Amino acid sequence: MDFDYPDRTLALRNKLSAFMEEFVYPSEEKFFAEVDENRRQGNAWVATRVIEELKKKARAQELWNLWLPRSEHGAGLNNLDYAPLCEIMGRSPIGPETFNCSAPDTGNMEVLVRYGSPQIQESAGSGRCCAARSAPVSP
Amino acid sequence: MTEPAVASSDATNIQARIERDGDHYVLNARKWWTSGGNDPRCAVLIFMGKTNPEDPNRHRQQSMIVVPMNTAGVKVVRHLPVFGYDDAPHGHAEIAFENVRVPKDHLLLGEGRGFEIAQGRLGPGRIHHCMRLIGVAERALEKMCRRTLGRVAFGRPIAEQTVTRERIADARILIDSTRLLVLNAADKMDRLGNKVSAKEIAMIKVAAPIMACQILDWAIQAHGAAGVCDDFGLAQAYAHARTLRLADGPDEVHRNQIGKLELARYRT
Repeated sequence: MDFDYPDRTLALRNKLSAFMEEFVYPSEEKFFAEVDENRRQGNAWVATRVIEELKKKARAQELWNLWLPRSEHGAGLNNLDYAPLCEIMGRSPIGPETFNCSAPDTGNMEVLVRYGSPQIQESAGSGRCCAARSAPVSP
Repeated sequence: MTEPAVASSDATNIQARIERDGDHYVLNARKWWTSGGNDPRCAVLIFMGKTNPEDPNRHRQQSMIVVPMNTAGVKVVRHLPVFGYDDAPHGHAEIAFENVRVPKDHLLLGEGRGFEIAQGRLGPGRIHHCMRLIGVAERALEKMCRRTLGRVAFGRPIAEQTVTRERIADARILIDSTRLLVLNAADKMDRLGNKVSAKEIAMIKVAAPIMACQILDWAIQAHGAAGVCDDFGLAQAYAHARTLRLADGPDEVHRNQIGKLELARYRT
C-alpha cells in the first residue's frame, strides 16, 4: 500500500493549483458580478464571458477533460489519479466548469462515450466528439 | 430521472413513458431537477423512462434515451432555486415532455437496460461529487483558520479559544478520513469496476456531503453573521453541499444499501 501520489499526479496537481491561483480564484467575484448584471438586465440564463475565457486558457494548458478515463478523449487518468485533481477544482464554485469537469456533465458524457452510437456522440457534440465538446451544458 | 409526482429515490417509481412508434420513440413525462437544463448551451439531455412497464422484473422496465433539447414537445417550465440560489446560468430545470418524438437510434444500449446504465453512470458521477466536496471542505477550513486568527473576541483571538481549536481539529480529521475513503473507492473502481464497488461508492456518497456540511457549518459560525451572506461563498457552498445529501440518491438509500450488503455476510 503506497499512500504517496505518483509523480505524474503531483505534477498535474502543481499545474492545476497554479492555474487556480492565477486565474480561477481571482475570477470568482467577476463571475458572480457578471451573472448579477445579466440578472439585472433581465436574463441570467446566458453563458458568461468569465467562464468562457477561463475555459480557453484551461484548454490551452491541456487542463481539460482530466476526468475522462480514456486517453483518446481526455488525459487517460483513472479514478485514483483524478481524485486529488478533482478535489482542487472543487475548491472553487467555478473550478469544475473551467476544466470541463462539472456535474452533471462528467457522468452524462461518460454515458454517451460508453453507450452512445457514433451518431449520438456527433449530435451531442456539435460536430466534435461529445467528450471534448461536452454533452449537456458546456460547449 | 427525478419526477415531481413520485418518490424518485425509488427509481422503479418513475412514470415517464417511452413508447415505440415506427422509427421513433414517443416520450411523455414531467421531470424536475434536471441540472443544466436552463443553460442555453444545453444541447441534449438523457431521459429515463419506461419502455416495458409490464416486465415482471422491475429493474428491466426502464430505458435511457438521448433527447436533443430543441425537439418539439420539450418545454422548460421553470428553474428551481436551491435555498434561494438560482445557480444561473446552469440552473436546475423542471421540464415537460409532451409527445416528444426521438429517432429510435437515440435509445442507449437497448430497451429495458436503463438500470444497467444507471449503475455505470452513477458511480463516476457520485465519486466526482465526493472528490469536489473534499476541496469545498478544505477551502472552508482554510477560511475558518484565517478568519479566527485575524479576529479578537473577549480578549483573545478566536483561534485561541478552545471551541475553535476543537472544531478545526475535527474538521481536519473529517477531511482526511473522508479523503482516504474516497481514494479507497476510486482504487476499487479502477481495479474491479463500478458495480463491484457499490458499497464503497455508497459509503463516500453518505460521508462526503455530511462532512462538507458539518465543516461549512463551523466555518459559517466562525465568520459570524458574515458567514450567511455571500461575501465568503460559504452560504452558497453550504446550499450546494446540503443538496448533495439528496442528489444522486438520498443518504437513506445509500445507507440502506450499505446495511444490506453488510448484513448479507451473516445471512445463512
